[in-house]
Amino acid sequence: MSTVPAAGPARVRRMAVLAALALTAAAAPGQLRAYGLVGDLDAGGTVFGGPTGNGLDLQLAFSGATLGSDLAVKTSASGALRLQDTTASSGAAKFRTDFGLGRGPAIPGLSVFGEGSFDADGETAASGAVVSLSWENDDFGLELHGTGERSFLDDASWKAGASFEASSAFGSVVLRLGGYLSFEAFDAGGSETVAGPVLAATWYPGFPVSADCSAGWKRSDASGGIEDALPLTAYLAAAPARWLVLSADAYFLLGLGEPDSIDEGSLEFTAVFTAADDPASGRSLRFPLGVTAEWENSALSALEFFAGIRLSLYR
Amino acid sequence: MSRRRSASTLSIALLLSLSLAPIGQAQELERILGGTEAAGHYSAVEPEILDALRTATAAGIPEDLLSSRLREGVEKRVAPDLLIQALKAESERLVTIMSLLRERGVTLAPDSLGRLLSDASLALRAGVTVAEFRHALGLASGPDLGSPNGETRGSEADGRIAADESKARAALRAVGAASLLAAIDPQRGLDQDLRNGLLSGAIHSSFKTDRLASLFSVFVRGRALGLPAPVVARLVSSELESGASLVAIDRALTRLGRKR
Repeated sequence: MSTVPAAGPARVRRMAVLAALALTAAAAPGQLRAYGLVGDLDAGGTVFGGPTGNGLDLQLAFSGATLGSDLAVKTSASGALRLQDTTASSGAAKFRTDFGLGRGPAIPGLSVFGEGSFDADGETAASGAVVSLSWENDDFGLELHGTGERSFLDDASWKAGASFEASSAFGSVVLRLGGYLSFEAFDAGGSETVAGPVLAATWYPGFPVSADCSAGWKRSDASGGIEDALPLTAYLAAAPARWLVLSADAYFLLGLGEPDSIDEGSLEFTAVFTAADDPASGRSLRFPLGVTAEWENSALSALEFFAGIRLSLYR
Repeated sequence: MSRRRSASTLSIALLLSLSLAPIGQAQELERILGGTEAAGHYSAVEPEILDALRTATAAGIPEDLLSSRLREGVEKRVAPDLLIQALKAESERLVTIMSLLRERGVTLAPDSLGRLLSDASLALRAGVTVAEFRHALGLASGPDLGSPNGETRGSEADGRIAADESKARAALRAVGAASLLAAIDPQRGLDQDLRNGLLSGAIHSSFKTDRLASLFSVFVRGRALGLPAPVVARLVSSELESGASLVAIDRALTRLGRKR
C-alpha cells in the first residue's frame, strides 16, 4: 500500500498558488505588500471539426498576479497543441511577466516575454522586453510603450517598436486613441516598417453586456512596396445567466490596395457554460462551445466547430 | 313610540354598518386596482390585501409602490394565495427598509423615496441581506460621502437642509452599491468577505452613484475574458478600494484576462 498522498485538486491548487508566490516573491523580495493575489491554472481540451479537418486542441495556461500598493506583478505561461490525424499539426508556447511599480498616478513598468511556435510553415521563436510608463488620474489614462524583440529560427529578425495609448471615460464608455510604429530588420536581408493609429471604445452600459470595437489604419513598408490596410475589430459579451456567457468576436484586416480585399479575418461565436464555480474550494468548471470562421485573401479558409472543457483553480 | 323609533334606528344603523364595511373595502380595493377586470378573483382575500397595504402606508411607504405591485399581480391573474404571500413579503421588506432609513434619519421627497425603496427592495429580493444593507448604509454615511468637506455653512436651517441632503445622498449610494452586489452575485455564491469588499469598494469608489451600474458590465467582461466570477469580483473590489477609475479598472481587466 502506497503512503504517498494522491495529487488531488487541492494539492494541485496549493502547488499553483505556491508557484505564483515563488515567482512573485522572487521577482521582488521584501517589496510585496499585496492585498490581492490571483492564481489561475487553466487546463482545457477542445474538440474541433470542419472542412479543414478534425482534431483536438489542448491548452494549458497558468497566470499569477498580485496587485500591491508598491508593486504589481503578473506572470503567465501558456501552451497549446493541435493534434490532427494523430500528429501534432501546430503548437505554441509563451510566457510573459509584467512588473508595475507603485500604484499611480505614474506607474513605470517592465515586461519580459518569450514565445515559440511551429506549424506547417515552419518554426519560430522570439523573446523580448517592453518598458512602459502609465499615467492615470480620475478619468484619463496614458500609456507609453517601447519594445525590443529578437526572433530566431525561421524569419530571424530584430524588431524595435514604440506605441502610445490615451484613454478616457465618457460616462459608461472608455475611449482609447493610440498609435504605433515598429521597425523590423531581417537577418536574411530586407526590413519592414509598420505604423498606424488606432481608435477603440469599450462600452459598460450597466446591464449584463459589454462591447468593444476598434478601427485603425496600418501602413507597411517592406521590400515589396507600401501596403495600406484597415484593421477592424468588434467584440460583444453578454451574461444572460450566472452560468452562461455568450460572446461574439470579429477581426478583419481590409487591404486598401485592391477593392473589397479581406487580407485576413475571423469571426467567432462562443457560449461558455459554467457547471461549477465554488469560491470556497477555488475551483471553476466551464464548457466552451462555439464556431469560428476564418478568411484569408478574401476567401473562407477555415470553418471550425469546437466543444471543450476548462478547469480553473484559483485563490 | 319613541322607544320603538329608537330601536328601529338602532337596527338600521346596525344593518348599515354590517353592509357598509365590505362595500367600503370593496370600493377601496377597486380604487387601488383602478377598475382592473380581474379584481373579482381576489374578493376572498380582500381583507388581507388591504391589511398589507395599510401596514405599509402606516409605515410611511408611498401607497403607489405596493399598489402597483398588486395591480401587476392582479393583471397577471396570480393565484390569490400567492399574491397575498408576495404582497406581505414585499410589504415587510419595504417596512424594514423604511425603518433602516429612519434609523439614519433619511428624509426624501415622495418620488425619490419611492424610487429608492423600490430599488432597495429589488436588491433585497436578489440576495442582499438586511444586515448587508444596514452595513452599506453605515459605510455610506461616512463624512466624506456627505456634504463637500463634511462641513455645513450658513444658518441653522441651511445646515439642516445640507445634513438632510447628505443623508439622502448616502442612502442613494448605499442602494446603488446594494443593487450592484445583487446584480453581480444574486445567488450569494461569493464568500461574505468578498461581498462586503464589493459593497465597501463601490461605496468608497470614485464612481458617481448613477455610474456604479457600469461595474456590472465590467464583471460581465471579466467573465467573458475567461476569469472565474470570484476572481473578477476580487479584482473589482481591490481596484475600487484603491480609488481606481473606470479607465484603470478597464486596463487592469484587460491585463489580467484572456479570451477563450
